[in-house]
Amino acid sequence: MTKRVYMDYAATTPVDPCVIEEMNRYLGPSDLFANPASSHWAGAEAKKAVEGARERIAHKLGAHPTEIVWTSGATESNNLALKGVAAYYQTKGRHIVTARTEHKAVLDSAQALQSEGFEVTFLTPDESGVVHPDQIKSVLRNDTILVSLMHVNNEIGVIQDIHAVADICRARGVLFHVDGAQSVGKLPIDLSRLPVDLLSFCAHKIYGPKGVGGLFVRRHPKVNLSPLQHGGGHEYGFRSGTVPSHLVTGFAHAVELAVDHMGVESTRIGTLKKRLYDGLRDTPRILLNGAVGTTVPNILNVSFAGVEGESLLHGLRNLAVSSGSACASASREPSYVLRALGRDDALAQASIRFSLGRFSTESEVDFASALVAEQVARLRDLAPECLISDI
Amino acid sequence: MAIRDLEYSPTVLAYFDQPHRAGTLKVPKTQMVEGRSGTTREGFVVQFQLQVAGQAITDGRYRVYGCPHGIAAAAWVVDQLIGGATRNVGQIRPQQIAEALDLPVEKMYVALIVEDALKQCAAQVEEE
Repeated sequence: MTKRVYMDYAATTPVDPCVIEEMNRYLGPSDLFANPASSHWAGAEAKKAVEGARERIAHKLGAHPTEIVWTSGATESNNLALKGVAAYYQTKGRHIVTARTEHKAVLDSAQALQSEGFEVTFLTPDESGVVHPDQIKSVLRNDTILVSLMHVNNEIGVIQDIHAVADICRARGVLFHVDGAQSVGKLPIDLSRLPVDLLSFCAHKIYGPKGVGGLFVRRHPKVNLSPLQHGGGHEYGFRSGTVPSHLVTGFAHAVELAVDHMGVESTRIGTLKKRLYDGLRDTPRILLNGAVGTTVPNILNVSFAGVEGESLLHGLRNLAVSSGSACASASREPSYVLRALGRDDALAQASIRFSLGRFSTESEVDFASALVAEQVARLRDLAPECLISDI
Repeated sequence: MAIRDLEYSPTVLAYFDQPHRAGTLKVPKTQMVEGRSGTTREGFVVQFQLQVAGQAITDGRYRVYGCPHGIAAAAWVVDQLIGGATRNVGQIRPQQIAEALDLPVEKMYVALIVEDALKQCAAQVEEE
């Protein structure tokens, strides 16, 4: 049987068996399946579980339970943060600041707001992917209402100095939203000390279920949002809709596991990442995307000179990884994140994101580096000789 | 970094996994015609070398930088030409390549670039 390896944990993770066990309690015909908004005894049992989950997550993030709003995932959280703030504070100002390397959920939301007449400044990070706090300071205006920056970039894993940016925003009276989809449960976050106003996060990046996320909305100083969906005024009026008790309790369990084992897990995964990078470096002419020391332990992004991206991805088809290649799409646009970092189209296309996780092993890492070496060499051998030194 | 499903025909997959005749000919330049087209910016570069003896193509090689469809297109073309008449070189059309390999519409550029490289070969055949 062909060996296949999953190395795309930054895209999504399997649900931890302990989390599944907890979720199952809220699905079957027990006393816990009811609608938590119902006023009868069964609803009260479900509501107790939902509010318990809210408390458990708030406790692990240094937040108050009433500051956690359930959503369907980080995409919805990002939409609610940007559009909700923009709608509520539009009489105060109509300028928003973000970066070119943000997740599409933020970029597309920002562009949607542009079409409604908001002004958006898209900052370009340095060549390692870092947005420097001074860049943000220099573009803030009297009518700036929001800065949105991701904590950890999903493609290259670079970590932004959100503490410094938060201090700048707080001093200027500008709200600060952080997309924490790739950092919650992986990096220490204490919202009682970190002065961000809004934080998006989700369950499925940390061994919880897909379809549930959260948005931290600070109460002191109070942040307001205009809701995007209406229908019952659930979640303090920010997000209507029946709360799925099985998803939020699973989410809470996933956050607890991730935070409680963060130190051990990040050390183990960091060791695997180093082993992978050491293995890949046997292949000549590779370029690391995201500088050493500025990225999270679980993400490694590398470009391979002289190799076409789609063929590389197909050559690695038994390895579940993500690519900067978009050859299969009609647009053929390579990774916008790597282009923003200054990589040319060919190198952006020929990039691979390896993301490791809880169930990654040394043998999987060794399989990956050997397969990459074999396929890169094979494809370079096919290329016209005149291109070998050019690409 | 979303990736759409990459779907390849069995012919494309076979050529990708076994790209036979890749490389360069080991004969004097006077016995071959050559053509090259494409750029790395386009994501596809192809180079053909076809050995000519009288009115026949007796051997051929290609080198290619590109997607699996591109690799297959280069290999398929060389397979079609070897053993045939030199006049065939300029007669392979992009639509033939597309049909043989079941190219999706967004990959038609591959067949067009291959045709350009073949036209260069055909022009040299005519000169001789």
